[in-house]
Amino acid sequence: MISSQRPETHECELDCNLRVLRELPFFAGIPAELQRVMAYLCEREAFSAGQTVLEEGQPADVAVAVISGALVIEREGVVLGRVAQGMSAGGLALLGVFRSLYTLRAETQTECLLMHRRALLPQLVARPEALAGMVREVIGSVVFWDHQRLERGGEPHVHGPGVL
Amino acid sequence: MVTKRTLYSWVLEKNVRWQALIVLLVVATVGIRIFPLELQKRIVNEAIGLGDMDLLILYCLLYLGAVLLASSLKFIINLLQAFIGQTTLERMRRSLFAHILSLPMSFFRTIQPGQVINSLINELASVSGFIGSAVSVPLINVCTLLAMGGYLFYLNPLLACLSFVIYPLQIVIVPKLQKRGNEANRHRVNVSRAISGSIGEVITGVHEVHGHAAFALENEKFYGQTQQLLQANNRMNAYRYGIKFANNFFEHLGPFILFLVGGGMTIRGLFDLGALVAFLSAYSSLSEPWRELMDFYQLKEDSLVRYKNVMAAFDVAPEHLLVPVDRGVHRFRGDIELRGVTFRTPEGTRLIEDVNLHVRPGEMVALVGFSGSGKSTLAKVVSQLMPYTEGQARIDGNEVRTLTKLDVAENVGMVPQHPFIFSGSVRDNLLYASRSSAANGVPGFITPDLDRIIEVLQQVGLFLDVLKFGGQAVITPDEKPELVERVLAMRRLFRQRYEGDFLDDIEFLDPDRYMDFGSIAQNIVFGDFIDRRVRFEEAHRHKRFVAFLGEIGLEEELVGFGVVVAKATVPILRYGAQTPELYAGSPIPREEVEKYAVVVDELASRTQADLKAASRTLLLRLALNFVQGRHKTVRMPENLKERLLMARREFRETFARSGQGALRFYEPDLYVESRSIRDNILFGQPKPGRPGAMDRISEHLVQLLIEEGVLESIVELGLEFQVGSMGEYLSGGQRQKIALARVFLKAPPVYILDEATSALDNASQARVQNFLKAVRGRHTVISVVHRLDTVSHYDRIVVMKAGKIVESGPYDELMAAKGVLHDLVAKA
Repeated sequence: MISSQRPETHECELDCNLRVLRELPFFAGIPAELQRVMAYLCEREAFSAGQTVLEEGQPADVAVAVISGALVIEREGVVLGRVAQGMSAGGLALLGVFRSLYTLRAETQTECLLMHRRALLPQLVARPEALAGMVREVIGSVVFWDHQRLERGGEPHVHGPGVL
Repeated sequence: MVTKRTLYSWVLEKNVRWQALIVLLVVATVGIRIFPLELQKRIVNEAIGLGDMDLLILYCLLYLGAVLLASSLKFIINLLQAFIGQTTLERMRRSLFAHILSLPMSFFRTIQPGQVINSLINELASVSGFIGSAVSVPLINVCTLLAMGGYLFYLNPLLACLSFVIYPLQIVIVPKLQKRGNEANRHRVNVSRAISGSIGEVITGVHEVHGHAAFALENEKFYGQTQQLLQANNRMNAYRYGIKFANNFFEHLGPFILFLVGGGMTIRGLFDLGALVAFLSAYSSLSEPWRELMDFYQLKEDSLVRYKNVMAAFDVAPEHLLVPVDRGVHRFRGDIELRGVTFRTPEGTRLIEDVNLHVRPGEMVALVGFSGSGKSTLAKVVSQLMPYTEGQARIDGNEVRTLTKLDVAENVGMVPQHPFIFSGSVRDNLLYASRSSAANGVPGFITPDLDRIIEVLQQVGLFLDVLKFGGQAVITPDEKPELVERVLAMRRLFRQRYEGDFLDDIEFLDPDRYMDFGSIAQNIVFGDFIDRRVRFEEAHRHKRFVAFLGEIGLEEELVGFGVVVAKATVPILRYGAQTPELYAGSPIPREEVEKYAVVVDELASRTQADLKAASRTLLLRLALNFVQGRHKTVRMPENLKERLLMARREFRETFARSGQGALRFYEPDLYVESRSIRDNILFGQPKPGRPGAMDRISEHLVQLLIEEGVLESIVELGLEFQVGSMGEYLSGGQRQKIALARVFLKAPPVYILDEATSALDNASQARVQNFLKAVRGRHTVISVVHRLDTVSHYDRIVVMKAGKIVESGPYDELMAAKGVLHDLVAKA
């Protein structure tokens, strides 16, 4: 018998989504209640092997976290990397409008957590402190990329944002 | 031009015979109005004075008859006024609407849709009252005043002169007030128009409001605007009622003089009582026509202000004729020549400058360049959607600015980046251009048939979407018995061939399995109500159903489950920003969150058993409407699912015993009327979140449709899919595909595509490019292209920068020259 006094022991989809989100650095600076709302707004989708999750050149409006399986990253037909279980891609799509720089394709049967900008961004905008937290994570990532580029001996003429 | 017409010009146009009839009725009415006044005098002086009962009765009956006749005539006059007013209003609106549609595109950049709606619907509505009464009201009332005045002079010239002394005062004072009232009215009209425009803008851009959560900002803006409108209305009403006050005062000043002077004369024997009664009655009868004239004057002034304001707002001459006069529509080959074409804005900015371009018939040209380089402007100039201030733009030697709208429409098909989708069906949108050609009587034009529509749908990659829409249609055996038979046949085939492949992807209707994608109520009933008005969402109100739950001991369990769902869901809904997405997957609708919040608070101090009845009902409803597959906040325990499956069996037995025919249970050989065609074939529904499986299911379904010979029937149903307001039920890609198909169905000699495939997936983009390659040589194509990886097959690439053409030539040549195109491709 269901009782409001006894807590549930089985995990619902929201709690499963929350577990995934908490592992993502992008969401580290967000308060717990907002993480719960965002977990509620995420959607799960299962992709067959070879199916496209995100297409190069198409408007990027969703971030993807892999729950099980793996995705390959392709650009102009060339495989550049993989997004494995526990990893995510496309976090910047939550904040801004641009065309995807790569294609994400399921390598095997893959279950993903999809975070749509249209659902999540209004929640961030309504909580400026959370948005600031996410932006700090983005800044951290950009600094990290610039650092890597410098370590590699970057191009002499650098355009765009960054520490240089 | 309709905007140059005066308001009075509408009064007689097509209304002459009705207005003439009104004049006749008015003359008759005036005569009949005088008769009762004379009768009053005779009743007093002759019948009552001489004590003649028979004469009294006769005069009274004649009086009643005259009053009835006058009233009947007035009733007919009023009806005629209303008829004239409304029919003229209808003509006025049609003329103005036709004029508005013909206005240059630049005009629509300066006006909001809401302003147009307000002008056409609200502002012109009150003008109809004036038009209807423009002849009858002044005529009847002036004639009545003259007749009454004449009668008053007949009775006593001195008293008559005294009673008329008030009117000149009124004639001086009231118009002054009216003038101020008119100014206030004009201001009100302007404020009203501005607020309508603002509302239209916000609604059109509501996605921006939601995206930036700008609810507080927009509400504050609207508050300021409504305050302005309130003040304007208050000011106008102050003047309006001030005028009424003045009229009323003067109206009562007259009788005051008459009682004083006339009464004194009667006391001194200079005037008989009967004549005084008749005089007072005649004078009081003057007030009504006088008031009607004053009201008419106000109405006239108000209507003039509104009419002038409305016409002034649209007093712009169309740039082009709509249809050719004295010749047929041009048929071009598609030779486009631009020489020195420049478009300079009123501020002096040159959006395109000195453009020279020659596109031969059948050539495919891609226009590329950075944002703001003038590509879209050039495309719009050729399509006559923007003017050009210098140079020549010609199609087959004909200057674009001299062509009529129909010439351009029949020869140029323009697809913008953000096409407009009309409310209505997919078919309505696809055939919009074709139906327009038919409506314009274009010779030789044939409306596309289903085969042609299907061909074009495949060319733009919309065929599967339309098939999907058709699959989502809900039909009944009564409406389409043959199709239902074929659907049941397909169901059997699908089960035989594919059931095992999709056990994880489709939720089949199985009496022994819990439906995760059905509500608890639907799971218990496992059938449909024959009366389609009965809804599962209201199951908690169904006394017998609730009694059944109580009998099998399930009611309390479900209330308890409702508690769990409420406690898990309410905090999320209260914390989150209130967006539509927040409620899309919520078991609690937006308008009821606070109710459930109160229940959750109640549970802090009470046990479930002590809950108020209203709270229990809310919780029961929440539980009965809970859908495990959609509502994420709680996971249903397996033992509850088992319990509900038992309830399903018990329900069926109970229902069978009661002998009612209100339900139809799900049976493998019966069509489920509440479900779509697709779900009937599957005898279940695809589980969401499995796009790969959905593609495979769709492939099998298409195969079955072809085998059973019903593919076209499903396409026909799909074409009737209602796309919602401005295509809200369509994705961006679907909207672009419809816009492309719309133009391809018209098949004009020239296609102009302005980033028309930007929202399409790569496969659909490739389809469209293949179609364009296939029509090369038969149709001229000018395509503004953003994605440079799709231009290599064009005959020529034209590169624009800062409004000018900087490079032009085949792709390979330009790339080899390592110029601007090469740089653009490298940066992409």
